[in-house]
Amino acid sequence: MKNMDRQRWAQIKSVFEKAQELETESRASFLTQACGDDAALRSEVEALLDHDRRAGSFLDGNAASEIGVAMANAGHLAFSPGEVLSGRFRIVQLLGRGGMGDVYEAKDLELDRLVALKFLPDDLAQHPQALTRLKREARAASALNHPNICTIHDIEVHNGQTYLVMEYLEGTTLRERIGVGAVREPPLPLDTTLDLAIQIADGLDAAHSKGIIHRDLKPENIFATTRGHAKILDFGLAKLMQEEAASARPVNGAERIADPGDAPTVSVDAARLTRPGAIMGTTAYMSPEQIRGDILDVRTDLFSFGLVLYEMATGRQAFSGSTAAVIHDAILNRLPPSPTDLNPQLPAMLGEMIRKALEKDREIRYQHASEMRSELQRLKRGTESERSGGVSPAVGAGLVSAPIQSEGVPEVRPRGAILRKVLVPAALILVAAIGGTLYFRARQSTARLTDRDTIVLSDFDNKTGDSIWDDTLKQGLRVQLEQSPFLNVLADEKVSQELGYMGRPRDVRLTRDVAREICQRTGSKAMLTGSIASLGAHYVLGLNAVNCQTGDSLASDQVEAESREKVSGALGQAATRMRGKLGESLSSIQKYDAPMEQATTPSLEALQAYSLGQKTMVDYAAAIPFFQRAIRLDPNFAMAYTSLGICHSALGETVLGAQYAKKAYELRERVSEHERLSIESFYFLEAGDLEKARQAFELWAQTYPRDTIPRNDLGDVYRYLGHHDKALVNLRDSFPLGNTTYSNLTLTYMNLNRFKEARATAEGALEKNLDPA
Amino acid sequence: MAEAIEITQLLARFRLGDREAESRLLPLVYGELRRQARACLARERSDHTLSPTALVHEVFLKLAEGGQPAWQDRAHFFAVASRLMRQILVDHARRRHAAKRGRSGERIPLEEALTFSNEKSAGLLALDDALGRLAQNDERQCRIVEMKFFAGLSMEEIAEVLRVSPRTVKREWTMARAWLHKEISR
Repeated sequence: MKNMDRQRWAQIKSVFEKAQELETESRASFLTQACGDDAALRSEVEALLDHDRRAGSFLDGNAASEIGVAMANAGHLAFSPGEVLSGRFRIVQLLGRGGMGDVYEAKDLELDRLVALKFLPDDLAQHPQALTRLKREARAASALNHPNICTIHDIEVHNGQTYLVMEYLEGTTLRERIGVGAVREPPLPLDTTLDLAIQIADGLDAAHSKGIIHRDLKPENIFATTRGHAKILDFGLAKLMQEEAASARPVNGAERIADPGDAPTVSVDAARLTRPGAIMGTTAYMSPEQIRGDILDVRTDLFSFGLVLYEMATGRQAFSGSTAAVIHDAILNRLPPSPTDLNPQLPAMLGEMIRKALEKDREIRYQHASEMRSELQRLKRGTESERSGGVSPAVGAGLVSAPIQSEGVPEVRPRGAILRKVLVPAALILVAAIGGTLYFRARQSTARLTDRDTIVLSDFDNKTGDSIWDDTLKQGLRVQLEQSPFLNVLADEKVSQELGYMGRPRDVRLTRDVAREICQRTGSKAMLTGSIASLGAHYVLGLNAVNCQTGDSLASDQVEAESREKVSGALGQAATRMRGKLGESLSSIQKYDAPMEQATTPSLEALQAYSLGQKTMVDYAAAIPFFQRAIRLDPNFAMAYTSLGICHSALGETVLGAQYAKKAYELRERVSEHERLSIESFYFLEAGDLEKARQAFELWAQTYPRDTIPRNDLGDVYRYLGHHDKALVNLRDSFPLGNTTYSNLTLTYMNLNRFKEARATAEGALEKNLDPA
Repeated sequence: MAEAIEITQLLARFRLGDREAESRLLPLVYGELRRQARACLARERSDHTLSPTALVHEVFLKLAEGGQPAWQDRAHFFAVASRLMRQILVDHARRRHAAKRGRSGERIPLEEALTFSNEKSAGLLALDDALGRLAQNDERQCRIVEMKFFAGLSMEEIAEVLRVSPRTVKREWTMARAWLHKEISR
């Protein structure tokens, strides 16, 4: 019933209103009389009466619940194409809604050219002085007339809304080019990074030489045109906003504004818009001196530029966090992961440059943009000559591997979530008010491990009261971490051996203290502690890596799971993030990161049974029922079959052993890389195909050079194959990794007729209370 | 404050049927609405629920500050504000809904369409669509819904704006509500 004519509507209305005022029982006869033969009219009115009755509380109350957030988030009133602003600019289209305001493409009717109109927060219109200063600053920067600085032609006011008339650019911001920042994205190609960076440095240099500081350099404020030019936007705006903010009333409140109805994004925007001060330097790109509120000079821009470079080179923000306070703390006190670790293909020199730009003390940072520009140019020349076959001594290895771009035009990536919603809470203002003291306690901690370090896993601190988590989470974490060729988790055998030395039962709970002692005694670098607590139906998981010598926290992560079923997945995510925080490279994480609940088992109960089996495996016969239970709970649990096979095989039941090995082999499609290597190795070994087993174990040892099992088993395989020298090499290598089985080595020495060493090995093992033969 | 005088004049012209005055009024009212909403949010951070009535009143007082608005201006101001509120809310709901669903154009479940809450922005979108159709049949009913639902005006206030009796407003409201319910339920 759309667009009926007026007469008809009036008719329906009149009949409805009259009928509505009647008692229900007298309506029918009224309608018969009022509608006559007009059945359509009658059914329409009856429908309305029916809906009137059913409407209940429909539209009672008002839109109050939404209005606050919606209002605060609202953009400027949109202009329609064709509308003419200030008698001069005809709107062509809306280009985007930015953090500050909408941006339009428009035609300048006077000069007959395209321009971009960028609307500023309307609070600005209330401050005529600020506006005057903005004009002066913007003009000063534009007067540089530099190809890498976006020109601001004018500042206009239309209906109380202030907007900048800017050079019209085609392309995307660096933010869109890089991706969403807090999330890891693949880095930009090296060529693109260098090309853009040189131009940015040049633009900064030009502005700095006139004493103009940007103060808010970040990927959102750098435009990459379709022709490959970098343009710095919004020179001078930041300062203005800052001054305005300083005069504004500080907001009291918590660190983070929670919106019960939606993710933090909405309220964050609200907070950000409420506080123009938040714009003064977007949290994650502020320099330490900016956070402290010191007087700024051009070097603040160089720090921010370093952060932009970092992000272009690694695809990830150097400093991120869920609150401004966390980010500030990181900027002031912490070192970001080395860019060359995150992107191993990066030239060492670029990594070094970034490090220098990010010096917290501006005295030892780069002092001029021109220095950075010339070093970037040198680097670019180096990559070019290396590509053309020449070798540049100035440049480290790994340069050629970056993809080469045609015509220097950066690739266009699909637009992801463009607006990265940074949490810029009121705490920002609070922090400024509390002042420096909080942050002057400089605590530098190099938060990272190297691939030579070993870590010890403690048992989870289970605060839920549900025993299912006792072993499951540690096992899940182990599965997740074992995938990493970078992290080396101290082998269980080594742990129980150490417990033996400590005079403790081998099944003692690895509390924080016990784990720390083991960590120290074995010369491991760190221990990883985990905790789980329930929060209603939710679970909160925490991971913390602690340097066991100093007790300092190296990295931590917290994650919330909405339900029991989501705990494994959440743990996996936290574990993956921890790997990054502890220094594993992005490429390595990407390659070896199969989610546990998909790769290993989706069943918590099966995982629990499996982990109990693993714990019991010193006694093969006792472990079998646990693995059988795991398989009953998840008939596709590949690793449980392998473990079952190993137990039977070790008990001499080789036929059963081979059967289970084969079953695991058939299920190997979905498993993680680490599990696949182990399943395949064991399968070939049990199937008696020693050559294939050798290859599989070699691949395993190569991919995970610090795993004990492949080295030990290669000792066996080579021994069976009669290559006793190779067996010896592998076995010897296995002991520093934590192998505790000396029998193979003894045998190998005997096979090599090196009886003295065989005897010494056996005696050494006896001394250590270990199985000698 | 120059704006206050301007707004008083604009409201007076708007009341006399000057369409241009309305178009100049909109951005002024809009800007002030947003400023007030943000200020309110900053104060009442624990709860984002604002009373639209309070908001509109506050905005009006602020804009009229220094001027001498006629009593009718207040009513007309509310009429303008309620239209803006609808626009803002729907725009907000649309963005939120799109973000939630990944893409727009999906059919909105009935249950969701008939309720309005933080989580159910879809309802607002359905209402907005239906209101658009209602306006084509009956402009006045549409305005009544806007004023009541989006700006929280009472029947008496709406009657004042429309210069009709509260009883008429009530009658129109009843039909508009039944019609919208039917449209959204279909």
